[in-house]
Amino acid sequence: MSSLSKSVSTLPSRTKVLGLYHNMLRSSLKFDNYNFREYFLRKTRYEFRKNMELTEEDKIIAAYNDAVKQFTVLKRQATISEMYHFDKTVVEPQGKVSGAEKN
Amino acid sequence: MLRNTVLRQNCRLSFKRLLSSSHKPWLAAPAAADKQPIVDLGASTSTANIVPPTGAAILKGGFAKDTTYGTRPIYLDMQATTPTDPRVLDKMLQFYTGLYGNPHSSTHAYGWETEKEVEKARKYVADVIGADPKEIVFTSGATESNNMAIKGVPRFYKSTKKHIITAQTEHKCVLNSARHLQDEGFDVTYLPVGEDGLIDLEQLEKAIRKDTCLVSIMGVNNEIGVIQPLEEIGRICKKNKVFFHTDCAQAYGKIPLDVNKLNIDMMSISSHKIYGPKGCGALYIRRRPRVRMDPIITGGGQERGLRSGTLAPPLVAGFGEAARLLIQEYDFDKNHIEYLANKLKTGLLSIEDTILNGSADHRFNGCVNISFAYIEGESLLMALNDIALSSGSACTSASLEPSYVLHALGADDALAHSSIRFGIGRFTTEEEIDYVINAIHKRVNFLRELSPLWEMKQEGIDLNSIEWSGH
Ligand SMILES: Cc1ncc(COP(=O)(O)O)c(C=O)c1O
Repeated sequence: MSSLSKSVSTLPSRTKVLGLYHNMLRSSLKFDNYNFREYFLRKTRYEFRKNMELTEEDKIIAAYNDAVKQFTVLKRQATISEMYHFDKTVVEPQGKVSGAEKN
Repeated sequence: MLRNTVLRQNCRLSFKRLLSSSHKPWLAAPAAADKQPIVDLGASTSTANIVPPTGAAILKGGFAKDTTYGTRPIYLDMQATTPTDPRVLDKMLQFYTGLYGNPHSSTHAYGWETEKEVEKARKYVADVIGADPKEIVFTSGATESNNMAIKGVPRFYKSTKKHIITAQTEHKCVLNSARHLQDEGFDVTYLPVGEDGLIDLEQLEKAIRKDTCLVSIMGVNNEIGVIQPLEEIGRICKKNKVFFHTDCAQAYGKIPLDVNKLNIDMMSISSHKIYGPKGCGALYIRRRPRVRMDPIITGGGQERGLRSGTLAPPLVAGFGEAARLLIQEYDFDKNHIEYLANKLKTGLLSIEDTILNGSADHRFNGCVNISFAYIEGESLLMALNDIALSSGSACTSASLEPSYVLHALGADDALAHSSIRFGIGRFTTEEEIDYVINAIHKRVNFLRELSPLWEMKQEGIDLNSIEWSGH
């Protein structure tokens, strides 16, 4: 986990990239705010998919390091979002219990 | 019984509006508008005390909330303000936790570290519009920037120049600044706009006089989202050697803007319209050729003496980060907003008797303004308490007065009253847009069922042919 928060100077392995991707998705999911959560999920997926097409080594390293920086911000902000609760919006199910009841 | 009352009240309301639409000139003629302060416009209309009759209570019966879902409305009022991006907050928190130095303290490290961050922010803000960081002056927002430019420049040149030009659809802070100058003895021309909301370039050129000092035309209109032809306006201003100021509070970072390509001398920018903090903004002021102005706020001489007072580094750095993100996310945001706007427009304009207000081509996608004929915009807003919308700019929608912007476009009272603005942004989701389309369809139908005018229209009665006298 902690190695995923560090920048690299050589080509990161596939496992490492995927690990970072999953951690960013997980952090995005933690946002209490619906709109932020959806945005960061959409954005993370888009960025990683786009960067999968990169072939040049230094571009891959730069993209990875950039994502590492974004991940640290995301982690902090997801934690802050979890500390301040507001009512859910009209497009959000009220939580797992009622969601299950609905089905 | 209940329904009867509703009908009657609704009837009275609409009839009155129809009657009062017998062509009040409003802002049509600049000369006529000269005397009245803009904020008081139409205070005499008799409808102000009438509450939309149906009320939310009845409507709620018709549309019981699904209690398995939350209650907070969907936010679709991005022209009023935008949510602060978490990445912006992350930047700002550093200044509330450790970096508290005064950026103007030049004798110690606390000052230096904050100053460095302020200058970084200045560069990010400048980069979005192709400006030099030295040309950016931080202010408290676009309102202050507009006041600064519109009052400051003519006052500086007042010994030789006595005239400024602006448009009828500008934001209130521009119009009221211009009004203020009139009290000081300046002449102001308020250019009319066409049905599409755009100014006529020929008219602009004709309005320019020997003693014209300043032209102020906004980039993107906050109510209808139309984009004025800034490049052509810039060219005309340059040719005639008058300063060109543009209020780009709604345009900055959302449409391509280059101050050199567009010949812009001054540009007002607001932080809270670009996912930055509220209470911060900037004025771009060209250095070559130099634009000179009388500062409104004097004091310690900060910001090149044009805007004294200690800067607010948390806000400035947040604003800078928001600007940096605008460049980084430009395509991603643009494509997303365009996709959602097209979906919303198609979805809503498929309802009978709806009109998209403002030019269909020269517009920023994130602002969709639609009129729903035979419905009170205010009743629709009340019926839509699960969606945060506005029937115009934030400052006018508190009253029941129809929008002066839509009036300037030539819309009659009834149509101006039935308009709603939808603001889409970075954090809007497709799910929200689907919800909104569905909700509006249902409630427009519901309200029209209650409307006697709609009934008459369905029966093929031409509403314009009816004599309402004796009512
Ligand atoms: C076009 C325009 N100009 C100026 C402003 C005022 O900006 P601020 O709130 O930063 O003073 C707004 C926002 O309401 C606006 O839409």
